[in-house]
Amino acid sequence: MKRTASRSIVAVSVLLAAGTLEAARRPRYGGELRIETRATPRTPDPSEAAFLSYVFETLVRLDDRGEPEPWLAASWTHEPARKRWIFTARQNVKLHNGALWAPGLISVADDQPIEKILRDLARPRNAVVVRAEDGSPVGTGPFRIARWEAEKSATLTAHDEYWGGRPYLDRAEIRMGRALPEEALDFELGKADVVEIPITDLRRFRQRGVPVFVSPPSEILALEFEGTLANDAIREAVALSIDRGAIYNVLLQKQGEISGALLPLWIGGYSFLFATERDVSRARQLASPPRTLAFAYDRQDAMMRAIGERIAVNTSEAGITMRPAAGTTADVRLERLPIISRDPWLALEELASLLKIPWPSAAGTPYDAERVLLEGFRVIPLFHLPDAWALSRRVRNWPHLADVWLDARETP
Amino acid sequence: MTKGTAHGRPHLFVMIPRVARGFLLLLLFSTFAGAAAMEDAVRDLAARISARLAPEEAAHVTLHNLSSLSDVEAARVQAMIDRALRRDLRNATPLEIVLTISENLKGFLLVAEIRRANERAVEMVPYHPDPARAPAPSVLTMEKKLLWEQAAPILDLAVPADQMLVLDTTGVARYERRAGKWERADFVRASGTTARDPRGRLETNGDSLKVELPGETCRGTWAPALALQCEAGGIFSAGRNTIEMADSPPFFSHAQIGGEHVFAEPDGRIHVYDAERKPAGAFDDWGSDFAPISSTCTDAAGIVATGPAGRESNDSIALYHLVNRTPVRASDPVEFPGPVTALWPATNGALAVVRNLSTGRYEAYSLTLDCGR
Repeated sequence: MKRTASRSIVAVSVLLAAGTLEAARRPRYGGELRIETRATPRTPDPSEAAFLSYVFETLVRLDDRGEPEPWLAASWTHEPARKRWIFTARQNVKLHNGALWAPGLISVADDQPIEKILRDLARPRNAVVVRAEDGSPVGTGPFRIARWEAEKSATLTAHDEYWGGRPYLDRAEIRMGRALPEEALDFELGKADVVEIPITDLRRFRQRGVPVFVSPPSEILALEFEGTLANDAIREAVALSIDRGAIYNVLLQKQGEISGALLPLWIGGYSFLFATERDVSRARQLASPPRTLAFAYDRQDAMMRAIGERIAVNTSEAGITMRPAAGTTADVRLERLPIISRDPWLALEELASLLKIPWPSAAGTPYDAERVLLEGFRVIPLFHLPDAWALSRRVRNWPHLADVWLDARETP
Repeated sequence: MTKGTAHGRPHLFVMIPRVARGFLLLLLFSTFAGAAAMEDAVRDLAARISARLAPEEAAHVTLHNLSSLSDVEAARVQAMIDRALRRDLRNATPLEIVLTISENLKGFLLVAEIRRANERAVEMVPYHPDPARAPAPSVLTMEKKLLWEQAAPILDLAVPADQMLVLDTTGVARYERRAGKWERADFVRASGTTARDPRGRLETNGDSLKVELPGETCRGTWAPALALQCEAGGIFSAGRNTIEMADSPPFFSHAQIGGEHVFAEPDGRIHVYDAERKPAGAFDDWGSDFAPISSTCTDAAGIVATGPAGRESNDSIALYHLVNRTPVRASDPVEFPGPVTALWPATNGALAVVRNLSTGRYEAYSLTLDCGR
């Protein structure tokens, strides 16, 4: 699904604080990293692909704990008389075209709490993008775009004058729109250094001694209802009929975590408060009389197909028939939804936006917000899943692209 | 005027209407703040639970620990909450409370579910754990002594006479010892360009001072006042982490033992060259940082080198001798509370800089060979 794939690559580097272990050896500069991904961003828009956060930076960034920290803005000052927050630009920041980034006065109305303003400024879509004379986007990040072929490939090269220090790599070649079997083949043939792998293949890669990187859970597998055919009772019946434990143990090979919440435990800390238990008899009561729903999921994805089929078996035990949806319309979809931020508020707001659920602006805590968002079972979270990559032996410090270096002691 | 900087957070309430402050205070307490120690958090949670208890109800707490807190500490939480909720009631109605110790990015979370027949209420209190205790000192033949610690990455440090010079990524600071404490007396900003793996070297000769940074060299004095003039060039490659000198490839560290030269090179290996600078061997046992070390009390001069630990884990340094161009460890490793980020030769020893993984701060240690063993 597009909204998942476009965010998959390096998305977790945005979520993570620390990556894989570095060697005690100092990093070596130079070399080219070859990455493959399913993502298919059409334009180099910072909100289209997470790796573009290494090209276009924001005024404020979220730190390891999800707290806003100064980034392109070095500080901010409140001016009560003007009812504005004034952001001071970091000095000596060079754009990719060599020009000094001098934005002048940056001010934001103080009509919202500063924490909310800072979180908004940390969103990828609010990254600083300067337009060159030819209209091409110019950034300030550790990498510049040297080549961009929409939905196919991109070349990022090191920004020698990056204010935070030149990245170790000279270049990153990113092939986009690759199917997982293609990625696996290229990895086997030594044509790629970093490829995405299905979490269900993790054990196989590990048994072969291939270095893998597994993120904390960074996407939600959930059912999303559309239209009015499934009322509150039917949706609850579907939620109660699903045997999450069996799917987790068998189909997911115990990767990720079972969940009834939108945010995973490591971000929210409270996901266990949302029920995940199966109750088929109660589901049968709610689903009476029996119903048939059009069910859609990505049939090209083996894991999604297997889970979709198992869910259909589960719901049939409660009297709900899930027949494959024809065309693009469906009553219920099995979705992979990305978690785009370590900040619980930002992550939930993005999910609400993706799911087209009105944001509960009165919610005082993320837990309260989730309760409201999940009321009525419009969306049923099932699992939180990690992202996984296979890495060639020379790759160090993945997934933080600016800190990745290639170990010369290992052959490509 | 309220200000937020890299080192301080803005005051939040200046322009927020009074009516909104209660809401925001609750929001902040629940999600962003959470700096309470465990005792405070338990006390707070107990108060919230108590406020929900009817006069005749007595809490019965069941504990689940989903966090990295040890069983002992979790049991302590249970004992504290039991004590805080204890009520002496006759014919009390038991009320089931499920207390879960959870954990998220910001720290620990105490979550209480208060369960009645047709009602469930939830109370949450975040808290940060106490800072990790420093590890016990090791028994060593090489001794370490903490000289200085600070937040900014220390690149080098020198103690000429009764003063201390600290080179970090912002510049050079001079400290004077007053009433048993080092106090900053002077500071000069070095104009070095930023490097992702910053390195720097500080050398004193009498009152003169020389600072090497990536791509530039600064010369001046440290006494009576700090003064530096910088110009392009120097031993550190601009924007990189290697040292470049005539007649040698780029390298991270170098030591000369007898007639042999040892280099840590960007290929990740340690290379040995003979007196004529011809390759004489290579090995993999050390990290990229090492330094020659000597002592007035022993002729056991050698090389102190970092160990094989990762740069995101605790590191160690040990003394080595080169025997037939192969490293032979000659001391117990000295353990540090984080990775070694710099290791330079110093008078009668060596200087090691460590990023303490518990505190995130940089610590500079002097290393000396122990004459008493």
